[in-house]
Amino acid sequence: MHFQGSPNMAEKRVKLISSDNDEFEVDEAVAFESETLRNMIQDTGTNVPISIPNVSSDILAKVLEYCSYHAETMETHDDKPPITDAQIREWDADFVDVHPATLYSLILAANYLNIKNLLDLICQAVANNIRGKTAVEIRKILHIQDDFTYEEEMEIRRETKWAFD
Amino acid sequence: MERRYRSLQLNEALSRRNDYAEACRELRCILRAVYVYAPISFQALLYEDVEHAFHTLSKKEKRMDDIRHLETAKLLLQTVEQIFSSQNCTEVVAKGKTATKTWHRLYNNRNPEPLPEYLHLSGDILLHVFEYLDARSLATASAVCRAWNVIATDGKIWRNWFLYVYGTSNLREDLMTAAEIREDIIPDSNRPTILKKPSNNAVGYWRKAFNLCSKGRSPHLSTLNRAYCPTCKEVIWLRDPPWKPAKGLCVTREQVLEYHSPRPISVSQVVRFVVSMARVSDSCSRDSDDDDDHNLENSFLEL
Repeated sequence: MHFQGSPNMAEKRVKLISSDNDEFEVDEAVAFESETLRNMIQDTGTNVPISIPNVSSDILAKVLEYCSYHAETMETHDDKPPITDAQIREWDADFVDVHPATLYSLILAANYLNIKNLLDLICQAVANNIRGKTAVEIRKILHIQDDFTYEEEMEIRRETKWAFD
Repeated sequence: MERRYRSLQLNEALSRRNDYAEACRELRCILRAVYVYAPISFQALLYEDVEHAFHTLSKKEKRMDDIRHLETAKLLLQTVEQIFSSQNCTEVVAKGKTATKTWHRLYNNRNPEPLPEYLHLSGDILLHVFEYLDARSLATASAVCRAWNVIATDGKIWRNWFLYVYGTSNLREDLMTAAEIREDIIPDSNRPTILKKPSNNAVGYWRKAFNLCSKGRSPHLSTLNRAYCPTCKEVIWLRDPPWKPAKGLCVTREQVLEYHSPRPISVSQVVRFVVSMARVSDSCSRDSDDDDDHNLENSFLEL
């Protein structure tokens, strides 16, 4: 799978290997969106493929899609108008419009690869899913066991009464 | 009035998934407050925005798939039925009804988000998620389970909320005593009862302080996406939590938040902003306000 950057820039390419042994090749600038990859590349150079043992192919593809789009937005072209903030936001909104399970895998990947903007974006999306829901609804959606005693839960509700009115 | 209404940017907000519910709520309250007295041109503008609200609800690409979107739109529809003149009413009510039906067709039959199992998010990530919750949802999150409760007690987040809602991080002694914190007393001849800012790591301290201050207050204070910017003298939409100064911008003017210190604003204050500029600056300044929403900056000191 290839993620093309700008063709007129002679860039170094980086090989990445997902947990299911698929190989991805991207421009160095795309990989540099990830702080973790940047450090690895600076240590070992671009000749050695970098294995990412805890990120699966479909998630890595999605992450690289994000990285290449955002690397692209940083570039300036004389012939094309620059991508506006509004366009980026719209793209980002589409990007996180995925199944919650994918969203959760993406969080873990973004966290491991240390891509701050992506992590911010997804955390916000998860927060949007939680917002406005009751504690019972949240438990149901995320399969969380209610491990409070009755007294503990009442105590919390009493303290934060302003929020439950 | 019309100009101030336009400055609210409700029309744009109604197209944004995150702001739709709040925008609907504001539109509804504004309709109730001003529609009958409004000049024809303003009425037409309001009418357009109501139509727009129903239109976006039924547009698939806008993804207004949350139950909150539907509920606020339904309330808007109710208000419209009561307020609009009969001729206008039938047309727009029909649109609203079609929109809610479309919503049900689009979103109601979805499987309720079947996660394979509870994917355990580590504390760090969960904390990051919680930073994007409004105070009310954060309080709810703490009632989900023990692990969440521990993380949702985080001092930094609640301190930010405290600062944002109450405009100060100085606590009076009686409050600190109530929150069971008695450390770091600094003698200060001018303001003898003010204590030094407690360290952020005092467990549960800021949450307690916030809870104590929020007792009996309107929870509407705690919406995260609406604020009044005293510098721009405008009601603004916030894209990120206000304490993220690098990214948080005054949406209207693209100025960095830290120079503007916007204050949270409730729906009824938004309505007041539309009706009369003078009164909103009252409610955001130190003058007392007889209305139910409390004087924001002053509220802490009155405790």
